[in-house]
Amino acid sequence: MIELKHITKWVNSGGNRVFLLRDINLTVNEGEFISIMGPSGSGKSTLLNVIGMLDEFSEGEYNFLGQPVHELKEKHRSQLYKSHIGFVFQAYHLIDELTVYENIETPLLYQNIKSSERQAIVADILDRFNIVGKKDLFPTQLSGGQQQLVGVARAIVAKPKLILADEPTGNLNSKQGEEIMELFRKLNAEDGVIIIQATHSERNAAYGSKIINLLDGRVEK
Amino acid sequence: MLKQYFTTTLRYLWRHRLFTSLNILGLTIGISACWIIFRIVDYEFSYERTLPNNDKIYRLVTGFVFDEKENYNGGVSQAVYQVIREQVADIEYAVPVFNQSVKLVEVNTTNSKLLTFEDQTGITATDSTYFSLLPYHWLAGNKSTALLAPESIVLTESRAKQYFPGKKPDEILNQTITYYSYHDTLQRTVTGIVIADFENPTEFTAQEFCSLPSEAYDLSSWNNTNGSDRVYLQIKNGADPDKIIKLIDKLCAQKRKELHPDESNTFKYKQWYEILPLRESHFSTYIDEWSDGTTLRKANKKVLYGLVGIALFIILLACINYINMGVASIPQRTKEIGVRKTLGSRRTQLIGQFLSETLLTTFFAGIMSFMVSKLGFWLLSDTIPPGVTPLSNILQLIGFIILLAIAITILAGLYPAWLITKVQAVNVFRNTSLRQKRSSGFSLQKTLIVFQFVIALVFITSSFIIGRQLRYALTTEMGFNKDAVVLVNVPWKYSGDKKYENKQFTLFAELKNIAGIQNISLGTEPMTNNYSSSKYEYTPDGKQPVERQVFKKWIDTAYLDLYGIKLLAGRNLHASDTASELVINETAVKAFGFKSPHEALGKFIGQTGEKLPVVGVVNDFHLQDFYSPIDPMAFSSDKGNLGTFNIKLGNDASQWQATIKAIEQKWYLFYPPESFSYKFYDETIEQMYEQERQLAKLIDVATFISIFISCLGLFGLAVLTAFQRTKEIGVRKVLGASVPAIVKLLSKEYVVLIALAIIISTPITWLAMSNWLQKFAYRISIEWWMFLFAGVLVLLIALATVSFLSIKAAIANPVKSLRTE
Repeated sequence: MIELKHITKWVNSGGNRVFLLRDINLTVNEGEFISIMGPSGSGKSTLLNVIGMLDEFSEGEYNFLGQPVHELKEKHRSQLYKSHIGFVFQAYHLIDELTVYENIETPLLYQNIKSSERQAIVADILDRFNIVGKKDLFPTQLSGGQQQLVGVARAIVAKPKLILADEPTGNLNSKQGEEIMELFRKLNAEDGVIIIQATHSERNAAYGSKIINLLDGRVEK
Repeated sequence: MLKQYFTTTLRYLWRHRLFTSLNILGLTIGISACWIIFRIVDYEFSYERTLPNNDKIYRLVTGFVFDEKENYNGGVSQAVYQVIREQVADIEYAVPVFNQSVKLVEVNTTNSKLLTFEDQTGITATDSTYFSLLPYHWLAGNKSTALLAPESIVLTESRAKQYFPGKKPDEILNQTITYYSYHDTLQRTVTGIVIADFENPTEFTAQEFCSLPSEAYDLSSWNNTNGSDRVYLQIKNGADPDKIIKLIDKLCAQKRKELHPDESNTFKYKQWYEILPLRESHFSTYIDEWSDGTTLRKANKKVLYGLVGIALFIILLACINYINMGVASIPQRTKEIGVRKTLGSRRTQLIGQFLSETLLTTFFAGIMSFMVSKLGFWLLSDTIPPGVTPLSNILQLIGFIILLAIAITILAGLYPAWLITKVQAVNVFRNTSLRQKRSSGFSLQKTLIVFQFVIALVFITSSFIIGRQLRYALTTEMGFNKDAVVLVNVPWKYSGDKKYENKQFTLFAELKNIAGIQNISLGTEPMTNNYSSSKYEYTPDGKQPVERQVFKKWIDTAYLDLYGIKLLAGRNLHASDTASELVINETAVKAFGFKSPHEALGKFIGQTGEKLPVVGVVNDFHLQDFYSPIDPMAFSSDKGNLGTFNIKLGNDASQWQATIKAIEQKWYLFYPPESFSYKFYDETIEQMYEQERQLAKLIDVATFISIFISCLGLFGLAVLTAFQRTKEIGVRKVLGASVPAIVKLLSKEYVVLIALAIIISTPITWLAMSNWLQKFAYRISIEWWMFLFAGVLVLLIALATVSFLSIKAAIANPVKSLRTE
């Protein structure tokens, strides 16, 4: 489903070539839950951005659902991630001007889903995440854990095949973190959503079916 | 989707209340200024707009060259219309519209009560073609026959109601009205009641139409051209107006030739006819016209275009604010934009969102400006032409606001919107810093701020220079003393009237006895825009004669003393009933080639055959406004031309009103009460610069608005900069920077921007203002310190605007600002 072949990314800084990713090879199959570990600056976020098609890479091949991402135009690429990838951020990144309900609804709006259908989907998700009572609140009125819950809800509302989570529990206490990880595990097991998360924590990494260790942009064997 | 746009936008605007209100305020002022100017310009251009065939209707006007000065008269010789009807093809109608002066109108109503109306205006003599040229709705009477019979009269509905209150149009028909004019009394019979079918504003304001006798005119009538005798032409479809006017001019020249077959043209006098498209008539400022005793108000197209320019500049300033604040707020919005991008938003959707924000802001501003422009109308009521109203048609306002909102949205919103789409979604993942690097070069924002301040500086410096020139024109030594002088005019209509002959001299003797009058003289006031001049010549011994144009003023013996005009040589005029000697000014001495004032004494100058001896020379004083240089001038004494009382009041200003009251009482003994009016001379002189004062006021308003808007923008930008640099400021403080050092750091860049604006605006203002001053013969010179003054003023205003924020940012506790990261 996801296939990275010899992915390398570098930036030029003051005449020196700085490598962010070096020769990454990775295959992700349906139903997998992958944890990427490594110290700060090891390239976890960069790898996630590349997989999420938000960032470009310098060399290598990337196939997503059989489509060669490295050959696609910007427009196609955004079409692809729009319909198949959901993002969860460390800082939640909810839109402050929107209520919980509207935040969750936004991805559906961008996919031009009909109003009645949208209502049904969002109501379903709210129900599933137990946040119906909070649907009219604004993000600043929620605790960190609740915000991340909304963040996850928003990520899966459009039924993506893949969720990319960059330190999803980084700003949460351990109890809240556990809840989110349990949620990921459930989504992975019940809905078959692929999850790729970047994390510092061994405990959280253990939720994954596979752990990849990065150091200085390389996969540690 | 739309709903979410809308609610998000509203919430966003509310969360950023400060910026929203700054933006709305700036745009409100811009839109209000545009609306007021739009109403004025639209009004001025709406003259005769609704008149059918208005593109085929022309006015005939007369041009003269006399005394080598070109002059236009809005009237024509009365016989012209008959010549045109008889001899010019391609004319649909040639319509005489001869305004009539009437002293008194008497209406004898059926219940034998006599209604009288004094000094009625709007009475015109014409014939049935008038009603073919202009659409009228007939309530009673018949268009083709109403004016056939002599002494018939057609009234407008409003006039009919005034004369015959409570009567129906049919009942008014065949009633008689008595008209007392200055030379005859006429009974006229009402033959029609009409309502104009065209809308105001129009120059066809007549209320009563009497029949014009269709008899032939004397040849001598070609000598007369009176501004109240107008002729309108409607040409046939496809006719060439140039050909028509050439033919008319030729035919009329022949008539004048018949009248003066042996005219040698010693006066270098020329006369011709021109046609004026009807819709240009309101803009014909080169023709001085009077209507009903007051100067006819006309509009100057250049001024109108200037106004449009000012409106565009102001709205541009407001848009620049919006652009600047929009651009500056992008770093703060990066997160939201990035998130939206990862959620799958398309570029167009992001742009749409920002534009809908702009549209909503503009719309709020539009609603606000409805009230603000009403306030503006009230504040500017003495500058806005009468007849212009804040609102005539709500649809027009709505259309205006919608159009403007769309234009502003595109102008002000598109660039920031485009920048928004440039935000990289990947930045959202980078938790370290969401801020974009501040560009180190000269960004668009800075360029726009400089542009704003260039405009503000051009306005402020111009306003300063115009103000100084006006003060210069009013306070410079005029060469005579204008203080505490009151002018009282004997109306011209009595000067030719036998009944009032020489009455001014009896009144003069009476006035001399009033205690509060220090001095009194009959004579032409020293400085006036009404003038009379002739070509005088002087023949030095054995040489060719020297010819010079000389201003003539008629005075009595008290005049020089009253105005404090000094004799440089010779003596004052002796009292005399007819001109027998001259007192000339220094300029005349030089113009005729005398080496000194003394040399001029005893020399004879004047028109051929009417030369008079020079008995005195006075110092130069200003004869006209400061546009005109001081010309050669000659005083003489001539009873027939003395019609203005120059009255010097005593030193005690508190007694002036009582003295004027006393003068008025005496006036009633000799002249009808309504003819009394007085003016303080210094006020009269101020009124000579009415146009300039209006310009000054307009520029003042523009200055205020442009500075205000620019400062709004600066303030907004300063808020954002201070916010963006919070961390930098915190770090600097931790490293030991003092509060003043940080204020200096934050203010420095604004100083640089304004200094740049001063440098750019200086040559622009200098060019524009020296061009304007060029028209004045007597003017101030533009000095470097004027620019410095305006520059320092703007700099201080700008610093005051930003310093509050800079200081606030500087004294903030660094622990706080650094912790939030």
